[in-house]
Amino acid sequence: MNIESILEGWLLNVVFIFLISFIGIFLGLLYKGFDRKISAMMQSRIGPPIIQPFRDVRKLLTKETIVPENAIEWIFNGAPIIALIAPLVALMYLPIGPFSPLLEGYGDLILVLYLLAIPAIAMAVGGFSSSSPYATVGAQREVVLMMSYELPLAISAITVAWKMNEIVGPETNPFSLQVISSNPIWGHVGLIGGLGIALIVFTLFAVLPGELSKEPFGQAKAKTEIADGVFVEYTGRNLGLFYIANTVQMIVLASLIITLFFPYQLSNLLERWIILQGPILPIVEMGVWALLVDVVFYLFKLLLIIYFGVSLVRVAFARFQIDKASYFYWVPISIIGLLGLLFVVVGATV
Amino acid sequence: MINQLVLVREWHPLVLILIGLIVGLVVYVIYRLGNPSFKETRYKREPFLSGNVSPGESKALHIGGSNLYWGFTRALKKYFKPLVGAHTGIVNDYIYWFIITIAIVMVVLYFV
Repeated sequence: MNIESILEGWLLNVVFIFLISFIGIFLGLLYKGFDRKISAMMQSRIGPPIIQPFRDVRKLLTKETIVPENAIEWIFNGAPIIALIAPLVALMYLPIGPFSPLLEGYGDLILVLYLLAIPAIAMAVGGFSSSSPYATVGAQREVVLMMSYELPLAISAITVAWKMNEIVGPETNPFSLQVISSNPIWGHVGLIGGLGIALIVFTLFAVLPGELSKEPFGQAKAKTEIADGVFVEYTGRNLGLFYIANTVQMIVLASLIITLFFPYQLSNLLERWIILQGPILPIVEMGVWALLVDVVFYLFKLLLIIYFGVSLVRVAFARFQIDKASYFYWVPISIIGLLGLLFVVVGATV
Repeated sequence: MINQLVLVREWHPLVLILIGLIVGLVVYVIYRLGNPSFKETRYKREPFLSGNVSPGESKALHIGGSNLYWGFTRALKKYFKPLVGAHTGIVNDYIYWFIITIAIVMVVLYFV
């Protein structure tokens, strides 16, 4: 392979990286709009228009960036950048609808989980560096929350990987997202195993609001209590980047859940239907239509996951105290996750 | 097919760093999209504290190890309380623990 072809490939990849990043940000802000609208409707409010998050970001980008006295400036300004880079990089490792991930095979589930932990760390570091007492309290809570939801998250990942190892054999990496998405787990577990996987899905859904710092796990930025906590000193572009990071993280987490548990595509059904229709529909255009249907289906799955995992939960529950939140993840949710693992193992041996 | 791909494309930290740098460029572009009319957009002011006087650089802002995990330790206090109680700071107690642990290990080893 000569240098020109490598360079050509790289240029194309760089274009794709830009494209996926902007698609991720666009989808994140769009779904944030849906989330806000749906939440408002559930509370009998009219709510903001769907495009409100885009306006919020545009406005934040035009505002002044203020750094408080005694803050460690380079950490304070660097944290939002790191917080946005991590979920965008994670997006490159995940399949987006019918499209394979750009970095297919270069990283796996473990890498994505670690990348997902970085925004929380960046938030905490930014809060600690801001020299504000409110932000310090918020950052401390963020650290505690992160320590708490990592255990159920790890249990979920291990359960899926354990089952994948059994399905594909020891020679293939069971943590590979490509392997997981091409072998939908539900088809390989029996009734007991299916119950176990359902518990694991529940565990991941419980982790979702914690990862995103949404209610009932919004202790780190409790507005009514510690004046937006970690973000109290953030303004302008820095706050804008944190805002975008949170929305992209939502898309990454929802895509991860889709990849792990619901990697189904509608195009297969569509193909069968078209064949049944015979000569009525032209077969040639099926490829494009199949792709379009799969993209729409993926967007619909995203909406469902965000609705059940974020919107519904944050409207239905009030904020926990930080020790209650920590207990929630360490005891009941971890036990549910371990039960799920147990059921999957028992289901495989019976 | 899956096996082939996995063999060809392995976990690669260099790829991660390169992609991180390129995505960093994307983030920088977004950062620069902001209003260019503010030439010097940063100025210093006291952190917001609901009108109270900021503690400045004093130790009031310092969160020590015992406070950093508050919430976590409180949530699992049933687990931590006996552990903290066991740490009396008296050497005799630690020696007792040592002897008891050795005895248990030896009993277990004897039966195994």
